[in-house]
Amino acid sequence: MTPEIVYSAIPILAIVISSGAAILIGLFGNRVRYLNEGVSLGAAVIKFALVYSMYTSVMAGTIYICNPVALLPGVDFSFRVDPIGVYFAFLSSLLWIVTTIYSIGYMEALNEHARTRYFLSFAVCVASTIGIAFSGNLLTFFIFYEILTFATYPLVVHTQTKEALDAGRKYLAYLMSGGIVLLFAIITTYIMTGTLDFADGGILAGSAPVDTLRILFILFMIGVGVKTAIMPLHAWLPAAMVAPTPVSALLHAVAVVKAGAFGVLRVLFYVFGFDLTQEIGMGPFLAAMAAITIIIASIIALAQDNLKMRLAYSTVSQLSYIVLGAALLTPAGLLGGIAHMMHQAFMKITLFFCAGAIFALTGKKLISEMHGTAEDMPYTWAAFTIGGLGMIGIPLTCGFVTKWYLLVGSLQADAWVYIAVLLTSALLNAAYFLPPVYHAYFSPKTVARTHEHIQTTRPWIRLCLVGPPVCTAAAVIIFGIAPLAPYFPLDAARLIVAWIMGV
Amino acid sequence: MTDILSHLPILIVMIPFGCAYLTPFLGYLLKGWGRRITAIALFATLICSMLLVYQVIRNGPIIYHLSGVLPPLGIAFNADYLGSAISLLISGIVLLAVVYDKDRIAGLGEKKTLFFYTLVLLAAGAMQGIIITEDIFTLFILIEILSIAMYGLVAIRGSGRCLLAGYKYLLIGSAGSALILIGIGFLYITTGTLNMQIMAELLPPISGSMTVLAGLALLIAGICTKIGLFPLHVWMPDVYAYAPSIAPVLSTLALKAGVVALIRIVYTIFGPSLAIQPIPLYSVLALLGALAILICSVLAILQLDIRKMFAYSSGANIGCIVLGIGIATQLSVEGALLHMITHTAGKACLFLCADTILNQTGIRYVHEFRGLSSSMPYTMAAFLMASISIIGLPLSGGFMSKIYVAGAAIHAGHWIYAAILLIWTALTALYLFRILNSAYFYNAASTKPGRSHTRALPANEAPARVLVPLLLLGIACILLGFFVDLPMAVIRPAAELLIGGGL
Amino acid sequence: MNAIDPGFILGHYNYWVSIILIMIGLYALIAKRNLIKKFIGLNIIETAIFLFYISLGDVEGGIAPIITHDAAHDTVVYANPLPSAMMLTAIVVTLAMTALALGFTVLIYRQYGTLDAKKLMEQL
Repeated sequence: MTPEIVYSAIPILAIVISSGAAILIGLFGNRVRYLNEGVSLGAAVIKFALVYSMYTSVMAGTIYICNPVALLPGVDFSFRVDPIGVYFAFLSSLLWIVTTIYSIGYMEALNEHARTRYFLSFAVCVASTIGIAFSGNLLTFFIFYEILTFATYPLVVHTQTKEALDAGRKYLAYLMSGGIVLLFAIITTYIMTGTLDFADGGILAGSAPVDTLRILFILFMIGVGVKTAIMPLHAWLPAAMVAPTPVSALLHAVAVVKAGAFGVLRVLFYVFGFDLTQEIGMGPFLAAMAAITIIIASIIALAQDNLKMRLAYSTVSQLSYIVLGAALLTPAGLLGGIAHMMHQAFMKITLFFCAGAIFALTGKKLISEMHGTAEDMPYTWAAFTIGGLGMIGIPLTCGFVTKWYLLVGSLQADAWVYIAVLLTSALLNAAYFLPPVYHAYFSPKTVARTHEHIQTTRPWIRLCLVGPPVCTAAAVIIFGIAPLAPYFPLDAARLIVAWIMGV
Repeated sequence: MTDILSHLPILIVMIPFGCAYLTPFLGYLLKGWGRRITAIALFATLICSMLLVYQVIRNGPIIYHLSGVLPPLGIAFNADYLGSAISLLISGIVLLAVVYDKDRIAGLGEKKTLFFYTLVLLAAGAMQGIIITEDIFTLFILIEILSIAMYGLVAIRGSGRCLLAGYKYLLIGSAGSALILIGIGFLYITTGTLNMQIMAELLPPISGSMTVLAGLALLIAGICTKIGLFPLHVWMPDVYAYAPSIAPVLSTLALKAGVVALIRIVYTIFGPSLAIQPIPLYSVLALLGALAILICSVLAILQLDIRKMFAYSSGANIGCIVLGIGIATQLSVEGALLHMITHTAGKACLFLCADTILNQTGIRYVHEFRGLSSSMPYTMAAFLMASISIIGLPLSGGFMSKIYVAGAAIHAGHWIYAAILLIWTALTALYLFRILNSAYFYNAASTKPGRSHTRALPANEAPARVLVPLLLLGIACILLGFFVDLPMAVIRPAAELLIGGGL
Repeated sequence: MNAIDPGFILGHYNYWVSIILIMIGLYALIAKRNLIKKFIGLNIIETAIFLFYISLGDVEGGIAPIITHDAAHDTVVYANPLPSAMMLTAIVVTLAMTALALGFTVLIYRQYGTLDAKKLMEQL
C-alpha cells in the first residue's frame, strides 16, 4: 500500500511539549506549590491529544515526516510517524496520563522528598519515549534511547538509600553496555548501507553475506535486548524495583521495556525487513531465547515474596511474549505479539498500581503480609485479580486474545514446542498470581490493624491511588470482550501487520 | 565607516594591547580603573570581532597590510572564516571570564590585581593576533607574548605551588618556543620569505628536501608543546590545578589559538596535496591525536583533584581536534573546528564552576562533592550542562562535533578512530558522571557553613553576578547542539578553504 | 647530500657551532638539577638560535646593509638585514622570559629555601 506522506511538525511538537514541561518544572518546581503536578498533568493531556490527532489518519495510511536537522551525510535527525510508531506513542501517552494521576496520589500519600526532580525526570522520560516512537532512523532512535536511560536513572535512585544507589549503578551498567553494543551495530549498518532510515522493507537486504548479517542481528538484539529484558540481559529490571512504584509501573512495565520491544520490532521489520529476517534464519534463535526467558523468569517469580519482585519477573516473562510473537515470523504470531504490547501494558500497569497502592496505604511489601487485606481494599484487589487473570490468559480478558493468536502463530510456523511453552507459561502464571489473590480474599489476616491506616489517608489521595488501576483493569476486560472494535489494540495490530508483511 | 571596517583585523589586536599599556598607569593613578579599562577593552574587542565575522561572512576574507606595505616585504593579517570565528569565540569567553572574576581576584592586593589585568589583556591581544596573522615570524612573536603572559598569570600569586607550576610551564614552553624558532629558520632559509601564502607557493618543488622536512617537524613539535598534545601535555595538570581563578580558562583559549597556528602550518603552508611523502604527516597527527584521547582520558579517571582531571580532559579533547585535523577530509576538519568551539565553551564553564565552588566552599577534590546540588543548585546546573556537552551526550554541542569527526573517520575508512571516539565518550562519562552522581544523588556528609549572599539563593550559592556567566556558558553548550547551523555558517567555508589548500 | 666533502662541512661551520651550542644547552636544561643552571641551558639554546639566524643573513662578499649616499646602489652587495632584525625582536622576547624566570627563581628560593629541581618537584 502506498502511504500518503505529510510533512508536519506535530511529531516534534509532541516531544517539545514534554520537554517544555520538564523545563518549567525544573525552573519553578521548587517555588510554586503543585506546579509539578499541574504542569505534568496538563502536558500529558496535551500530548495525548496531539498523538490522537495523528492516530486515526496514520492508521488510515498517512505517514507524517519531519526532518529538522541533518546530522551526517545521509543521516538526518528525522521523525517519521507510521502505524507502529503511533501505536507505541498512543500507548505511552495514554498511560502517562493515568500514571501522572497515580504519581500525584502516591507522592502525597508517602510525603516523598525531591518531587521536583521526580516530575522533571518523568517528563524527560516520556518525551524521550515519544521520541523513540516517532524516530525516523536508527540514529534518532539511538539518541532518544540513550536519553531515556539517563532520564530514568534519577527515578531509580530516587530514595537515595544505599540499596537504591547500588541498584542504580547496576541499572546504568547494563543499559549503557547495551547502548554501546547498539551503537556499534548502528555504525556497522551505516558503513554497510550508507543510510540509517527506517524503511518498510528494511535497508539491509543484499548488503552483506548472510553470516555477517547474522552477527549484526545478534549485535542488534543484544543492544535492544537489554531494555527488553531478554535473559540473560534482564538483571537490571528486578534491581530497578527499588524505585517508587509509579516509576516501576510506567517505566519498567510500560515505557522503558516497551521501548526495548519496540526496538526489537523496528530492527526486525524496518532495518532487516520481514523477508531478510526469514532468509537469514535468525527467527528460531530469537524465538528460542524468548521461550527460555518466558519459562525461567516465571519459575523465578514463583520464589519471590516481595510483590514488586514477583511482578518484575513476571514482566520479564511477558515481554518475551512480544519477542516470541515477532520471532515466529507468521501473521498470527506477529499479530499476537504487537497486540500484546498494549495488552500487557494495561495488565501490568494495573498490577503495579495495585502493589503501589497497597504499599502506600498500608505499608506492606511482602505477599505473606497481605493475607486478608482484600477486606480493607476491595477495589484494589478486584483490579489486581482482573490483571492476574489477564496474565494467565483467562477468556474475557485481553490476555486470552494474545495467547490465542500466539498459539495460532506457533501452529502456522509448525513450531509445536512454543505451544507447549505458552501453555506452561499460563500454568506458571496461575501458580504465582492465584495464591496471592486467594490469600488476600480468603485467608485470615497475618498483620492486623491495617484498617485504621487506610482511613487516615485523605480521600482524594485514595482516589488517585485506586482509581487508575480500576480504570486500567476495566480496559483489560473491554479489550478482552470486544477485541476487534476499531482502533482497539488488536485492530491496530492488524493494520500494522498488514503494513509489515504486505509491503 | 568602511574605513573602520577594513581596519578591523588590526583593531582586535591593538585594542587589548593598547589598553594593556594603559591599565597599569591609569589604574595606579585612579583607584579601580584597572578593572574597568580591561572590561571596556574586552567589550570593544568583542564588538569588533562580531563586526569582523559579519563582514567576513558577507564579503569574504579581509586582508590587512601593516603600514600599507605589501608582502613579501610587509606583514599581512588575513582575517578569514577560521580566524574570525575563533576571534569571536576568544573575545566572548575572555570577556565572560573577566566579568565573572570582578571581585574574586581580591586577595592579591591592589597592585597585583592591576598586573593581573594587564597580563590578561596582553594574552587576549596575542591570541587574537595569532589566529589572523599571515606572517610566520609575527606568529612566533605573538605566541611568545601569549606564553609569557600565561607564565605570569599562573604564578601571579607569588607564593605556593603555583610558582613551581609556573616554572615548569616556563621551561617546557620555552623549549617549545625554541623549537618553533629553529623551524621557522629552516623554512626561511629554503623559501626566503616569511609570508605563509608565498611560502605555500614556493614550497611544492622543494618539499622533499631535508631542511624543509626538519623545519616542518620542529615547528609542529614546538606547537604541540604549546597546545598540550600528548606526550607534551605534562605541564597542563600542575598549571591548571594551582593557577588562580581565570587562568585555566585563558589557558584553554590559548590552546585553541595554538591549534589555529597548527592548522595554519599543516594546511596553509603544507597543503594536503603536499605533505604525503616522504612522511605521512596527517596520519602521524591523527595517530598522536588518538593516543592523546585514550591516554589522557585514562589519566583523567585516576585524578582526585578536579582541576587536574579537567586538565587531562582538555588534553584528550585537544587530541580529538588534532585527530580531526589529521584525518584531513572536509567533514573531519569541520568536526575539528566545531569541536574547538564546543570544547572551549564547555571547558570554560567547567573551570569557572570549579573556581566558584572552590571560592564558596573550598572543595577541590572529587570525593568532596557529595550532596553539593542542594547547597549550590545553579552552579551544579551549569556544571551539568557543560558536562553533557563535554561527554558528548545527544543533543548537545559536544555530541554534534564528535559525530562529525566520527562520521568522517568512518567515511575515510578509519574504523579504529571511530571506535576510539566511542570509547572516549564512555571514559569521559565515567569521570564526569562520578562527580554528578555524588553531587545530585548523595546526601551531604556535613553541612559546611557558607556565606549566603541573598535569601533567595541557598546557603553556599554564589552571588547572581557570578552565576550569570556560568549559566550563560552552560546554556550555550546545550544550544550549540540545537543551533549547530550558526557556527557551521562560518566553519563550512573555513574547512573548504583549508582543504582546498588555501588560507 | 655530499656530507663527506670536507669543504662542505667546513664551509658550513656556522651551522655546526649552532648545533653544538644547542646540544650543550639541551644537556644543561635536562641534566642539571639547579634551577638557575637549567635556565642557563635554555638561554644557551636561545643564543645558539640567534647565532644560527644571524649567520643566515651573511651573503658572500656582502657589506653591512646600510645605504650610504656615495655607494653605487645597483652593484653593491648587501648582507641580508632581515634575520638580524628578526633576532633583535627575539632577543627582546628572550630577555623578557629571562627576567620572568629569574623572578620566579627568587620567589621560589624565598619560599622553599632550595633551588634543587628534584626536591621541588616533589612538592607538586
